[in-house]
Amino acid sequence: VNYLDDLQLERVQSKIAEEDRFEARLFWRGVMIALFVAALIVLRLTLG
Amino acid sequence: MRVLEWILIAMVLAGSVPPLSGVYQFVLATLHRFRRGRAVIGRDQPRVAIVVPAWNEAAVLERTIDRLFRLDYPPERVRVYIVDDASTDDTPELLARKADQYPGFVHHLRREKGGEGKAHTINHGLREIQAEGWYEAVMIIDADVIFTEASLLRMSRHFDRPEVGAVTAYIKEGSRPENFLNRFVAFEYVTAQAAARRAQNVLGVHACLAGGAQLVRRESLEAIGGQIDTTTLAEDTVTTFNIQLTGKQVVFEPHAIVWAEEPRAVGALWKQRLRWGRGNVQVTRHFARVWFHRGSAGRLGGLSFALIWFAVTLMPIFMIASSTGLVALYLIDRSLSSTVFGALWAINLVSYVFITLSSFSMDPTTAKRTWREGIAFPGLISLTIILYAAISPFVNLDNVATGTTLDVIVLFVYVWLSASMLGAWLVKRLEDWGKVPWLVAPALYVVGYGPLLCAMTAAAYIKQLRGAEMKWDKTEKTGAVGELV
Repeated sequence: VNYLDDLQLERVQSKIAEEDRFEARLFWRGVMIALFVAALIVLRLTLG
Repeated sequence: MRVLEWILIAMVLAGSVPPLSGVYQFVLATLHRFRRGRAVIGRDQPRVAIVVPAWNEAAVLERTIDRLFRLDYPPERVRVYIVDDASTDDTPELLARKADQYPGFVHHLRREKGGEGKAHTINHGLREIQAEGWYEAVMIIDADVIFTEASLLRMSRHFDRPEVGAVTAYIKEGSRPENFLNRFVAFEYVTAQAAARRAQNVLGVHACLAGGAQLVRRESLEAIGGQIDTTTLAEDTVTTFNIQLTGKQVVFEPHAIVWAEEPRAVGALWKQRLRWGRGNVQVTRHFARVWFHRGSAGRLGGLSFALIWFAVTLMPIFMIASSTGLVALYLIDRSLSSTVFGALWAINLVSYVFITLSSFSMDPTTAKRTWREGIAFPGLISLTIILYAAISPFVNLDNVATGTTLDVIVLFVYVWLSASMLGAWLVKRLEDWGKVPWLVAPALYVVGYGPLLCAMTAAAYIKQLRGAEMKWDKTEKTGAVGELV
């Protein structure tokens, strides 16, 4: 067989969908971490 | 303020370039989902010739071949070419057996006269597959790596876009059983690959195809002359630059996981990284026409790429400049030195927190087993300085008399950015000495893995400046590697 069969294709496409979800989570986690670090800076500056 | 003081302040703040470059890359990596040109998988996949250079690799080759045979890929569209560089172990017998076991899949290419190095060995394989003409893409891998089943398919799908010339995978540290050094390397690879290469995907420019897993389209291989570079110790980086200079893109596929065995001893790691470091110095000179020439070199000549490249390759110089500037300021104006020091370590603190947390988020599986090494990455001494500088305004030197213990401690802290490299070198010497092997690991946690990387880069410069012989020191592999997840 020179080409991916239906089952293989379906399995791989489902893995790609997982990857997309991971990359989306990565973005939101990055936003949360950036906010956390910003809050630490503000806290430190406020406390003097 | 006088010009000299401004120069010294600039020198001190040079120490913040590497951490800020790290923050920049992690921010870009976070934006990876928005990158341009995402790949889809079609039914038709390219015919891939996998070239494996091997010199006395019988201990690891059998498993490597078995794993390649189990790839989630149309079997008639993969061929494995083991380029045996005149091995003197059981490699020929093993390959004969494997060729019988997997007819048409395993091909044994024997060089009767070997010892010229890995690049020459790979080139022998490339000449053979080009003469045969069957391949549509070539994948160059190391003899000991373990490909996860979907990795090749995840990589090859990017060739769906004609502008992509090469793809690389995420090499993960997979030594088993792992020791402290393996965990440091595993964490390092999260930052240097999972994060940095995602960032390079977003920028659309790459520094290096991982030597252990590089998939190159046939047209791109032919466009760079059909051979890889043999004049430097960083042939994979030269290939990466050359492909991009032909106008094609290089892509990192973070979900194509490849496990590799990495050094278990500081001395072995030092040898490996010395080679990589010298290779980077050679590449920097080899592509002198590329840097800061956006017009002629495309994104390779851009400011962002230069920042990423030189933040790593010039790291020892940044650290030494920073310490020198601090000590000089201390001699001129102690109060000013204290203020600038506070600013430097505030930047370091913010960068450290952001990079460490982002690394954990980038690869949670690796984070579970390496979080201690992630936290201790800069070294416990640097960590203490970072935390102390964060909690209280460091030390007001106006109230400290010259020559007191506190004064000496402050001076020690000022020079630590540079002295930590010396400390890392002493850890290596401690291991070489061999009398107290139990002390090596705690010493490295105290001094830091980051300073060790910096020290190895500095050593590479020294060796290169001395004009040391350019030879390929093979990293010894035992085959003790496996998927950890």
